[in-house]
Amino acid sequence: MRAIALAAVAAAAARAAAAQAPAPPLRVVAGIVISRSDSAPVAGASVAIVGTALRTVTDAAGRFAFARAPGEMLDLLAARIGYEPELASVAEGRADDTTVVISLVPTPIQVSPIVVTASRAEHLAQESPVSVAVATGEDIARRATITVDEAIALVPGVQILDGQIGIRGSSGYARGVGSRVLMLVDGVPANEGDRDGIDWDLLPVNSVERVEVMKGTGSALYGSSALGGVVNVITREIPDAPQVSLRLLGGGYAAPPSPDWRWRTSPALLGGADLSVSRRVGPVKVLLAGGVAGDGGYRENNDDFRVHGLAKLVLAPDPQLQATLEGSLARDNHGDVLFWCTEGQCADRGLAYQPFRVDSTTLGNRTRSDKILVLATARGALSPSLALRGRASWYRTYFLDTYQTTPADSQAAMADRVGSEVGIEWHPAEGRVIDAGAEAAYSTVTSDLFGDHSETDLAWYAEDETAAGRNTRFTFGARIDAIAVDGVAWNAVASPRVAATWLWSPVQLRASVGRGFRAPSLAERFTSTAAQGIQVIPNPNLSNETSWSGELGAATPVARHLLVDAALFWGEYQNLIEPELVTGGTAIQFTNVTRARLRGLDLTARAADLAAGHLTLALAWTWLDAQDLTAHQPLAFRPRQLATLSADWVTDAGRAGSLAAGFDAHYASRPARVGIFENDRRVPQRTVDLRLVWRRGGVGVVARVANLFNYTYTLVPRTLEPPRTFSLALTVTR
Amino acid sequence: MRFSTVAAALVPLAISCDGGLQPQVSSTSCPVGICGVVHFRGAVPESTDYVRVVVYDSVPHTLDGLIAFAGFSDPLPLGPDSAAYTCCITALRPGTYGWVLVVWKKLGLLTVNTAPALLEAAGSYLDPADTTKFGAVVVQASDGTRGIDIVADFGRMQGIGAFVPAGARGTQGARGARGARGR
Repeated sequence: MRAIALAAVAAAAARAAAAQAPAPPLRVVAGIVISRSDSAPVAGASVAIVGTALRTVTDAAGRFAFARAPGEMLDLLAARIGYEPELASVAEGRADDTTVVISLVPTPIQVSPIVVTASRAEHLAQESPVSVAVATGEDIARRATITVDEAIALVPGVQILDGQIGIRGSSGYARGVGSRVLMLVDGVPANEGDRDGIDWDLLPVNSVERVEVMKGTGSALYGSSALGGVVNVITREIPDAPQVSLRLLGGGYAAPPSPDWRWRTSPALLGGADLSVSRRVGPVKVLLAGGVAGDGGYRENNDDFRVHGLAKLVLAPDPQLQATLEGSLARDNHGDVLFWCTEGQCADRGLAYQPFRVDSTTLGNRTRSDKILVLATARGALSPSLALRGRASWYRTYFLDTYQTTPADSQAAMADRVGSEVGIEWHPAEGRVIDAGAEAAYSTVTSDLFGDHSETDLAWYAEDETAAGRNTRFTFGARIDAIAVDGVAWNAVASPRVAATWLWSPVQLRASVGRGFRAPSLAERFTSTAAQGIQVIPNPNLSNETSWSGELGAATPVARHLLVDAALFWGEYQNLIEPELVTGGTAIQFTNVTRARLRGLDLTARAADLAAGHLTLALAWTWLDAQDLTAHQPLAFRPRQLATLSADWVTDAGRAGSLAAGFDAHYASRPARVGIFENDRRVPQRTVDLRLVWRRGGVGVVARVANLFNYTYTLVPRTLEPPRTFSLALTVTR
Repeated sequence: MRFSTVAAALVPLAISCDGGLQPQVSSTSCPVGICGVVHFRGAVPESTDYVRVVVYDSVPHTLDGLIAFAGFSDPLPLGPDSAAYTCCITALRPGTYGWVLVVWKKLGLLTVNTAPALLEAAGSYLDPADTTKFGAVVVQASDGTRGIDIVADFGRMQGIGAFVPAGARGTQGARGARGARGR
């Protein structure tokens, strides 16, 4: 890793020195990427010419080609999930016969994958100016997860509270409304148009290549909702060779640990099936994926049935010109569980609460939820120094809540979010890249809950990344958003960011400071309803939440097999929006009330190739101090400590295939405050997930036991987390 | 190397030695706020939406103040003769609360305007030393206040609007308490 960075900056410096001479003519640079372990070609590897806008992907035979590469000496950076990135130098040349062989070293744990979320351009995660963690498709596959949020719950500093994500304590819990984390699908914003929440079931997990989690504010690049971080879900590259993949999953929930809590005579089951097919026809690559999932529910009234599909079409007539059209849809129908049953609300058996049951009057309450996302992206390199990109998207969400006892109170909302963006990636000189663009988004909602409203967001952004000397890079950038609600009351927000990275061998240091903001969602502004006899009243005059935050981070190899990364983070937040009791407790309203401070430490250590290459370990620990400075009390729902230890033991692959056994142990301390039901007993999260993976050729079997010790706990008051869950997944890929 | 393997294998066992939440026979724990038992009298009206324990800083002087709850409990179970309660859903700030009562709510949407028509006092916590007066309850930050027992009589309820006539605060409280019990 260090060698890569040093070589890259040295080559850049040498080229800068020679920049006064006339540039040699363009040439063809072609090559092949192979695996160092067995010399097999590596398909789907990304290859980029360092310091230019040129990049491509290897075909099924591992081949790549740049038709118009610069004639001078250049460096190629090749990367693929499952391998360490590799840098290869290419001598100056004029003939069109430059052929390069790049061999990648397989690695069981990617110590520094390529990421694209931190600054829109590609970076090694370790050299990114802000902390970025990656959950790979392999991480997802070996845990047999069903939705994306299960996969990223393992990322250091991330906690998922009943579907609502908090990164380094950025969010508490508000039933998914007003997310302070922005979700991107292949770089395109995909938060809901009305509630600004995240739909984790939008994409089938077997179509996900990796998920990048950027920690800390991303408003300088992505605007509102990125106040607390960004989650970028990147879908699979489509291979050149035809491929069919089938995944079957089945399982069930263990009985409650106490006989006093048992509520059904037979175990609840879950299952699903996913099928994807892909192939290339000329310059067009097509992927079709679809599936169903059913879940009997570990709690009363908690059953779930879901269908989802994805179609992706990639047109790449030239390696430097690529267009993608992608559509995904999901329909979900589930029982609605608000809180568990307390004494007198159900067959309580004389107990103070029945965590697996709900209030009898809410039995039969259901939610139907539909989502459709269509996006188109295009990128073309006009020259080695300039690339253009554009995208357009449409995201529609619809939900219908129905109540068994009071059908007339049913509520529905349909929201649309249309967005577009154009941008450039310009390399005006060696070691410098400028990324700039303009973005527009228009959201509408029609609802008996939120009313009929719209929001318009126009934005301009630019960021300049410059090398200063051999080991230092600086990044300066800003984004300006102009936002209007219902076409009036425009307000403008500026979100600057400054960042730097230093290679202080062998330590890679990073520092960043930036301003973030989040515009209130239409739901927070306009919700008008009644819940359990209490009115929720609108607040159209809500202001933006804002923050100044920064981090200092360092990553370094400690020994041959160990990489350690530590980051100190600090954020000062203003005008945080919280649901508050108003008019003497008879109504709830979203209001700007809180000034807050979030600070802490993220520490991760990853070790691979231990025990003669069989054992890999990963430890993540986050310490968080989250204070409400207005009320002088801890912010609700923020655990002081989060920790995860993962281990995997892999046998050598033989004729019978390879076998791997592993576990994830999670710990989340008991939050000091949750705001509601403070008298309820709360416990820390202490769970262990166990897995066994067998693979041979294109066949894989994953047996998993989540919450192995059937530990009973909550993350959200009166909302039980799943008990011991068994699952068996069979994947066949041809 | 062998040590790291053994250590990795032992971690799952070490981390889950605690069983987490356990069945709880009744609402006996009282880590914060106010706790006690409500003893029910009379038949529960058919138009009942819910019955909760409600806490005020003091007996309100105005109708607006009447809905200025400091906090309220979960709905109380209405089958048994009595129900243990803990209060409140949102945490009570440390301090002294002058009126703790059991409120019966009629079906209907609760707003500032409808509160006097929909809410009735079924019984209040009384001063043990002088049961003609409401009892003041002190809430501390570090521990819950136990033993705040209340008798709720559905046959002798009184609209909470009746507690807001002109008059002195203390006298009002005493008259309200007598009214609620004497109806």
